[in-house]
Amino acid sequence: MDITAVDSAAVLGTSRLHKASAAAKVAAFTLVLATVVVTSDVLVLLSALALLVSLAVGMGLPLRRMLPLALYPAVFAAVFAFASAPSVLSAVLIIGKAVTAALGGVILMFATPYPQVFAIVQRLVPGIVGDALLMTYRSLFLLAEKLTNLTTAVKLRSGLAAGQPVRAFRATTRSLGGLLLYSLDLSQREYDVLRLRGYEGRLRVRAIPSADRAMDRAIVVGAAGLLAITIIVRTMPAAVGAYTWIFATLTILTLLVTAITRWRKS
Amino acid sequence: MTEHVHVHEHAHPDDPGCEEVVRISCVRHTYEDGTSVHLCGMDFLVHRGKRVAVLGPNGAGKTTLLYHVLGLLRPQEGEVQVLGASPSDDWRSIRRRIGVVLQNVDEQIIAPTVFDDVAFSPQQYGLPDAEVEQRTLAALDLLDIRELANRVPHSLSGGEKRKVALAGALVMEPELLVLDEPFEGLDPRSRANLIDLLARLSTEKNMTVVLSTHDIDTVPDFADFAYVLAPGGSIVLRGTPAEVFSNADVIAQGNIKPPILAELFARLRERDADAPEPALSVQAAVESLEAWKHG
Repeated sequence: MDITAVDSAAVLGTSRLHKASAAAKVAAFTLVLATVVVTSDVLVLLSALALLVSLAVGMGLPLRRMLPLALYPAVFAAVFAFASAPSVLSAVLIIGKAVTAALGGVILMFATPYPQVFAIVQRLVPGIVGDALLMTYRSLFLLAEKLTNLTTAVKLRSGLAAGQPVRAFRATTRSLGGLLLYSLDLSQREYDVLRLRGYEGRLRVRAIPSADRAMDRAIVVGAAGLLAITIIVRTMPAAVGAYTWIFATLTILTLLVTAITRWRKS
Repeated sequence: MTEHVHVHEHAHPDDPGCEEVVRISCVRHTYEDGTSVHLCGMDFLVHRGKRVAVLGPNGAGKTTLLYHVLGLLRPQEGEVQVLGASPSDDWRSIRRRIGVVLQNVDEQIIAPTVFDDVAFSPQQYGLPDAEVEQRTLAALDLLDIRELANRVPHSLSGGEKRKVALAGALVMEPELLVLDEPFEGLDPRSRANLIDLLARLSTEKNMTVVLSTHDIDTVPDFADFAYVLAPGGSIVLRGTPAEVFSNADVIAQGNIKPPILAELFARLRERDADAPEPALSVQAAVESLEAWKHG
């Protein structure tokens, strides 16, 4: 995973979603998560997924980079579905829930700088936990770079030679062991740096104000509407359950229109 | 141990007329792997407004010395005083007055954009947003890197990262600036600019600067005083750069190769006893050699 790409997209992006406040985006993501938890209807879930993809496409987010990240959980969900789902539809529901939730999270991280997201989380969790989450920010980049360098070094020193699986396994485990020790050392040094630079037991993060209030409202209202539909379908399946295909069709049409518009613009 | 101290009438580290900013007296630190650094032999003294270079081979204890100044290490023996306080005990009382650039600047840059990173310290100290912005822009301008303000730090070159880290250290307008190997990774022009900047800050704002370096050739241009550490941490020599680099035997004890001009003049004097006294700047060397040539 190229976390520098995630960071660059979040920091340097100029779409309307980037301009919306972090609080609105986190609220919308929470509502999408609630939708994923509440729904038991495959069409509603696929509609939610289509809406998220439409949002990413419409905002010009790098979908090619995002989709592999969003599909990671599908692998684990598929194993679970294969082991426990009573029907194909249930299996689709399990995998769909994993992918939709992940895509919501990936959109949030591609459109919001990490510290802004965790500054909100910081208000809801104990101080030390919030600070720890924020402190991981640079450490992730340093560890990713270190891992890349380690892998290169191991390759150059023939540790990952083809046809030598045992040797490759040994070299990999040694490298990972080294990386673990480095990460422990790094955490101390990062703490020292924070202390030298003014850390007083509670990190203060500059909240970036919203530059697009209309977008704030749109994403929260949209996510709330999605959750409302999901609750209605869940609580009154007899009355509305037969009509969910209309909702699904509309969202897929939205996705198509968004994709075509974007393609013509580009 | 013999002290190889050469006293300048008005500009020596022991000058009682200057306010003492840093004093390290015979400090010992033993690391967990058993490596022991004993910063002894003579006191490490820095006075207000002075620029001091710490020289020594790898493993001599330069970083250990700086970490004691920054309160990151607690002395197991001896005493450390910085701005009148013990940094390991009273860091809170002095930290706003100290700016730091560590050796690995990658680990020092912690925010998602250059602007946010430079603004980090004033934000943590709770300064008003307008003042944070004003200080941050001023620090970026000082380093001439305002155009990097919205860049992502991990996309910067090594030299740019070093400038960002320095801007982050200068943003609080510190009285004492501590730099660990600040010239590493800088091209010659950036190095010369950094030396000029540090000299200007020291002169205009009376800022005290302590730095460790392997880049011996920068010392005559930069430092008022230099300290030489021998392997194990012994402080074997101190004085002005001219004094320090004229002690070839002690310099060799510290595994340090003298600046190329000092070496040139030393060899000339080996060949000809009438050769001129060492000059450590190119301009001074030209004048000295011309005077010698014309008799």
